[in-house]
Amino acid sequence: MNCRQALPLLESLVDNELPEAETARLKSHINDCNHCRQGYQETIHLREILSRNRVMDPGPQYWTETTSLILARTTELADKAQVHHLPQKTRHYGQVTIIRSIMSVVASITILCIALLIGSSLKKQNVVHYVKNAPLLATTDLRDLLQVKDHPIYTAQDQINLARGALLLGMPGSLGRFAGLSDLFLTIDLK
Amino acid sequence: MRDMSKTVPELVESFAKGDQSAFAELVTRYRKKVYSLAYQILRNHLDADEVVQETFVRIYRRQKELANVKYFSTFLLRIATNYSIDLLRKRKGHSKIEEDSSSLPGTVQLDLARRVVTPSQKFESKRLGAEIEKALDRLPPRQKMTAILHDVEGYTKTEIAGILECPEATVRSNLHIARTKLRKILKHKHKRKE
Ligand SMILES: [Zn+2]
Repeated sequence: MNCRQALPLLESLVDNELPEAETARLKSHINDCNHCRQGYQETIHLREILSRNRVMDPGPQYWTETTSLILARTTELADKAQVHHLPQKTRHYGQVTIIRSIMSVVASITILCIALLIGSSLKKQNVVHYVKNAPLLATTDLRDLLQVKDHPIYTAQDQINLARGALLLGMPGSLGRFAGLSDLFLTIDLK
Repeated sequence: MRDMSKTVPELVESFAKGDQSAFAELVTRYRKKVYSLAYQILRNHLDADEVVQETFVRIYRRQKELANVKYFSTFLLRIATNYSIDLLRKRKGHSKIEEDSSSLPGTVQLDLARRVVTPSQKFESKRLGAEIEKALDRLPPRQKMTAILHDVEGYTKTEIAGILECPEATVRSNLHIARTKLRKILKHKHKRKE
């Protein structure tokens, strides 16, 4: 083996990468050759210095604290990841919310319609009833009638019932119509 | 509680499936390797600490990728190395944080000469260590990294190729160039001393 063959193999020898036969041949060359021996020894020396250049261990307390910090940070990440999934859920919930609100609007409209129907039918019934019993609803007419105390059609009770019924049903304009209600009651002879 | 019975591939598989305790065990097993490597590159405790934390947080973020990772340690050290080099570039130009070993929390020298050394030898070793650090800092990042990973941290060339994402031949040539430069620097120092 000559220097040209030996030199590129020196590092491999230091790193223990050569097959036995080649190691033996190289070592015998190194023994005979000052130049290659110097290169080999320098490389070994450098590896030694480098391998001694280890880092100080910061100690168990540091490791405990740092590991807790890492785990806290990753737990936070995991929590955030879960929050990150939420928009999908919200989107899902959003759809449900829309359906729900549509349903509630429909329900409200239905209830309103039913209420109006019932209300109007009630009104009609009552109005019909009162109209049947007391066809005259105008205050002026009433007053006129009341002034005639022994009117054959409207007894005092008829008039009171008429007024109460109109108020109870909240008939439009009932208060206006019975604006003089207190007067009415005062003037009605409850006997 | 630590699960020391599991192998690294088993832990990685468990963690990829969402097992948090497997992640904690991986942190415990690899934290020193990451710290040591980062410290070699950055030469100060604060930066090495940042690398340790950030590396494991990044690993955590890539939890799902881990199912397809063949060599966890290579994957982990690649993240650590890349982050360290990023920090190194960021720090360059800024005043370097000089750090005395005594400022480290509860410092324990991991490997101060396994053999018995005399005070003068110890001093010599420390002086050489400082010299070699300076010499390493003068190397381009890839060469520096290769030398540190191989000759200081003891990784194989195949492992380094995986960590630095380059062919093994590149690792060999970078190591050779780095060693040649370092030898020259050391030789020069010795000559000046003589
Ligand atoms: Zn020779």
